[in-house]
Amino acid sequence: MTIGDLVRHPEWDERTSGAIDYTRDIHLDDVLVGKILRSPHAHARIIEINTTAANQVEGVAAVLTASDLPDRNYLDYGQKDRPALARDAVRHFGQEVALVAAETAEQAELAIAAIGVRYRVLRPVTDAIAALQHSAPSVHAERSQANVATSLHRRFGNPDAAKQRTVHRTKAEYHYGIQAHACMEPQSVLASWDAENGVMNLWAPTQAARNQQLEVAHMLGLELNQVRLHRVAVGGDFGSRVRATDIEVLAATLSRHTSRPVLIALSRADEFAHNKHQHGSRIELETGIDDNNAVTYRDARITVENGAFIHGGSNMMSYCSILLGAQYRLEGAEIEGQSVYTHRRPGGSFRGAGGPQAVFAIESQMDELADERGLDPIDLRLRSVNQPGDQTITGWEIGSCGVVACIEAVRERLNWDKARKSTGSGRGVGIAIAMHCSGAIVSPGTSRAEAIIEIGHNSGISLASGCSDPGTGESTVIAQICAEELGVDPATIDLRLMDTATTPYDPGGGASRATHLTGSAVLAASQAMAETLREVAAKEFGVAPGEVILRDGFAMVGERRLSLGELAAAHPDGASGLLRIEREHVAEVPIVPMTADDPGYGNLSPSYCYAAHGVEVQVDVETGAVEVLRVVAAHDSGTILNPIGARGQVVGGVVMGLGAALGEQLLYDAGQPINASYLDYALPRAAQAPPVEVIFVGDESPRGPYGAKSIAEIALMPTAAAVANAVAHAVGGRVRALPISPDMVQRGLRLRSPGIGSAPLWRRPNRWWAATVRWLYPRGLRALLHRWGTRFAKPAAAPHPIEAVVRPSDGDAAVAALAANPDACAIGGATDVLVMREQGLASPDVLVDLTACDEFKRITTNAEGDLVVGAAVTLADIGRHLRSTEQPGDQGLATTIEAIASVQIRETATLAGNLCQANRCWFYRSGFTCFKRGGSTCPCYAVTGDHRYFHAVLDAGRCQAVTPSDLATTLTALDAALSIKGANSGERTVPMAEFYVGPGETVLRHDEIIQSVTVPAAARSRYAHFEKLTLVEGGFAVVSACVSADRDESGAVADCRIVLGGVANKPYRAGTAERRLMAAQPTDDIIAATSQAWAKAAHPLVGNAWKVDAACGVLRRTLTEVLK
Amino acid sequence: MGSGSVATVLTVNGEPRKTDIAPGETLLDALRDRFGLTGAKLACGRGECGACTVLIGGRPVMACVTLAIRIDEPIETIEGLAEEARDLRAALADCGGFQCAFCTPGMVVRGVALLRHGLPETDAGLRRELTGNLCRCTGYQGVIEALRRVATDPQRTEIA
Repeated sequence: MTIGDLVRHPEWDERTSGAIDYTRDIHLDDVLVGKILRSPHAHARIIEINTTAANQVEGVAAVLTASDLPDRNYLDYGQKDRPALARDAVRHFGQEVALVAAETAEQAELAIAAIGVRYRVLRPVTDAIAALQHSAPSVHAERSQANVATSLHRRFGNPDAAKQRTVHRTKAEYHYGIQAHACMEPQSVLASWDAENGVMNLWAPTQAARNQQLEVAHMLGLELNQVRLHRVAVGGDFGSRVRATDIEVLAATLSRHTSRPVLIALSRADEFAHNKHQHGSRIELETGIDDNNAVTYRDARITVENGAFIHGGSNMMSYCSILLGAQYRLEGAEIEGQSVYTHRRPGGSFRGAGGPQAVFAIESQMDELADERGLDPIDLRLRSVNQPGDQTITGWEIGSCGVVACIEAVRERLNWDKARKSTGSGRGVGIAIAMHCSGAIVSPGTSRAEAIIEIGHNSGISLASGCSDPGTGESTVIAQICAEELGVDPATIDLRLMDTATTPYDPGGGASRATHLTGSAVLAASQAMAETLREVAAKEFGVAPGEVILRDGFAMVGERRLSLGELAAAHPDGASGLLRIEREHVAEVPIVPMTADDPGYGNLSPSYCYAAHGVEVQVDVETGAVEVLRVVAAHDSGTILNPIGARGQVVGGVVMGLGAALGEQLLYDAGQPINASYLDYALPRAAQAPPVEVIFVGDESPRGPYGAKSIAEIALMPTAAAVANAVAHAVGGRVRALPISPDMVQRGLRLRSPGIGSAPLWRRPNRWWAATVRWLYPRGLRALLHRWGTRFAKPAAAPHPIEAVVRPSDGDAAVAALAANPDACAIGGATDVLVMREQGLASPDVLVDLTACDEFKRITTNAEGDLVVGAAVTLADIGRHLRSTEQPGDQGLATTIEAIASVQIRETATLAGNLCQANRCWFYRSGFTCFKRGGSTCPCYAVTGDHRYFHAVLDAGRCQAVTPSDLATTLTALDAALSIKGANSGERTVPMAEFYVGPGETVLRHDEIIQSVTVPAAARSRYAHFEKLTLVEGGFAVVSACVSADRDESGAVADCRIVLGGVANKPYRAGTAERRLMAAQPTDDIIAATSQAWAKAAHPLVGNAWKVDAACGVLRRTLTEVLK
Repeated sequence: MGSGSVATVLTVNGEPRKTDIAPGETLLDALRDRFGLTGAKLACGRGECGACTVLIGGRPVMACVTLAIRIDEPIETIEGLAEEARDLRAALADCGGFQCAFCTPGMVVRGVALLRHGLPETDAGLRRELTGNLCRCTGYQGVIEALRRVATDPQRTEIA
């Protein structure tokens, strides 16, 4: 038996030892590097492209534009509106305009930079609601003046009758954010045109190789069998590459053009910024209930932000609309949907295919209904859940349905009844359910799969399937199925997957079809092979086939046995070498097309799975941060074929759902991405993932291999609503937009009670200028500076290679090296200098390595008891040293260090490097030509851009950024002083509090370095504590506080320092707060008053006033920790 | 040999390897492109995700932001640690500690460093140690379980 057993992934040894090849690990000879020229505008006409200079760059093999490609658009989901390279217009920031292939990446970059494109910039529209306005520019005027890419209108059941018996209804709008797939493997394509045989060889990560094959063949004018996707390990998909992305065709085109292999590999920044993502969407939903509190109808209006090309928008909206009518027993549903063109990169398929959005709306509203009717949320749901054997009004034929068991499991494991009774403490529990298909059978292509099994005379078994396993574990599942039927160990099966030339047809993963469709094909082939083997054995043994047992690689009757290889050899078909069985599985249900033009009615899938997620949260009402304490995930997926894999899908889906619920969002400014990095994108880290209890319930499904139903997508679906419901329970206020980030919780809370205010502006003349400028920004000043001021921007340093790393033996040599070269810069761990180079912010040619100087690597205590830390000591070493002293002040500094980044970074990054790091404003870092980057004619994009998290609330002038170093905050509170040496200026001492002149900008002259930082003995003996609010574990501070204080014998505060980080351009010493606290007894009231005393001086931007409250909360906690 | 390249000896998995290193070249580039050791992955290139984690002098670091030219301590990569990590790798397989496995080499290397020094007592403490290793597939739970399983295995001998 292997079904249901704990079976290791067949490739576990290779996968865990780095021994399998992903696309970038494939080695071919003479590979050219492909690079893409992208549009810097969201909307523009292309007047002219000049590639002459680019073609002359050394090492360049090809420079291509749309005119070098056939005049075709991608097939996508049938609408064919997407070109491979822009022709006469660009319709989103980053759209692919031209291609270069060159010998090296540097040469390719030079060529890209040398391509001259003349644009006529046009007014873009970058959000769906604005795009629907009459005055909005048309994205595709010839398709839709009004920017409606696709629309649908569906009626299921009898909505009118349902409304007639409705006694109560509720209506609200729910927003789901733009989540990135964020696969760990960035999109990469290796293409190699074999001119001799006329075959385009491709290696690319995808869970559906035949989709890519089809698209490349179509776009290049090749026959299907002229395009070969090879087998390669896939580092995640989640829908981001189930259909062609933008680079398969581009790499293939370059390869055909140059007759050499070409690799296009997106950087992580490009993966976030220039690959598909979840569509942002909103659902206006109304649900009615009758006098038995059973749900009667749903009315919904879906608005999807499509992006500039239809791609996945229509598909996602379609499934979403159907699920809105299917989940729960409804009498009627009426759904309208519009997928709206915008000048933004189009979204693509995303795990759940529109289901997560529907579930978020449905399940949030169920709780709102329960609240309005005074019912328990579980009881309300139980009155209306689908039952086994139901047919929904959408035509879904529900076979097995274990949703009640799922709900009851959550109720029990969360101690629901008791937990729901306690309110007001910031702790809450919430539940949500979901249902999903096991494969949506929407077309001939997605309705069938094939499998081939071969057995050789040596008993070697190979199983061939066209599926690929992006991490979902289907390779394990199909090996188990085959092993189960043949009576072998799954680890002995040679799996041949994915390769479009050598494996049989499979539509690939998607709509959670793999276990059902591919699994059924493998089951059919395995059963047929088993039957064949038994027949041969029966003949050999002279018994009936039914008496033959297949086990351990043998056919057995009593004591007699024959190996599978001997049986294969004995079979007439296998006598020549291999016994081969090929089978096809066709889905048990007829095809139900699901485009926006179809009614969407019909039994879409052979079976439907169910889940209930229960979540317990703790909300910090001062900061708005939501901590998920635990999750109970109960799933009905029928028979669980591979418990390890299934459990993994659930836990992974839950954590991805928590990411969507609490922090993940791709952010844009007028269509330009601003947070395209793991640093700024709140994907959950390990410490943010709570324990997830997974419970499998439910019966074997009447359909599906061994009674299995799907699990991969549903795992993502209910979590966000469960979190929203738990938060609502915890704080009594509901957030209807994802992600439920701290500012959103605060905003909801502030609707009920005012926050901590700052002093009115009319009394603060020193802020009038800033206030005036901020007022003018959205009224034309930003546009003016952006359009005209940036033309006078100082040009970015042309990137040139680093020519030397100088390793001076002492400080004098170090500063001399700096003085000798205006393009030299000092490094410690160098963890940011390479990033800055990539971001175009720095281009040093010589690095002066301070870690080469022993004198900077020491930690000592001098005669006075001061701690002297060398500039080049790593953060990890400092932390370890501090934990070994008994000094309370040292512990506060150690706490600060242990919250910085990660262990890996702390083992490399140094004290000086951390203090001197440039600001982390995401506009500055993302290539916006801002004031800091381009000079005083340029705008500060943070004023009108998204400044909720990482910008100042106090004292900011032209630049709203903050000093990112946490050490700066704490060392200021510890009265630290820096010893600085310069080639020309000798040595000087600068107090930490005077080190910064701007956000991440220091008093250091070019020829100066920090030698050491001294923490005075007095500060070391004061209790000190540091806390910060971050979006991700180890991330930069949204707000932070360091308090260093002493109490006298009477218990009153004798000395204190209060420093806030993340609130001003530099670490902010809150003198007002210190004065409030000095000589006082630190009661709760005094502490509360102290924590708010500084807020009078705040002057937040339009969207970050919440940070004032959050900082007061963080400060209050820090004060309490130090003073109690 | 590019301009500025310096003949360098890097000790990788116990073996001294002589090669030319460009001044701005990262350890990740050197490992993957010069030595063909493709186990460490390029997933972000910025030291943010841990898929490139290797050990230098036994300390876990991000190879993608480590300058190769100045390393004078022994380097250990997943290729060299696979045997030491055999129990951990089997535990990852048994506990669902990997799915697409792109992050896994970095996770395993990080895990080896953790196991050598002893795991934090608390679940929260152990999770914080993995802050530098991002995973999109597993939700981390299988990794945590695998580490605990190996650390508490009575058969496991202490590695000094």
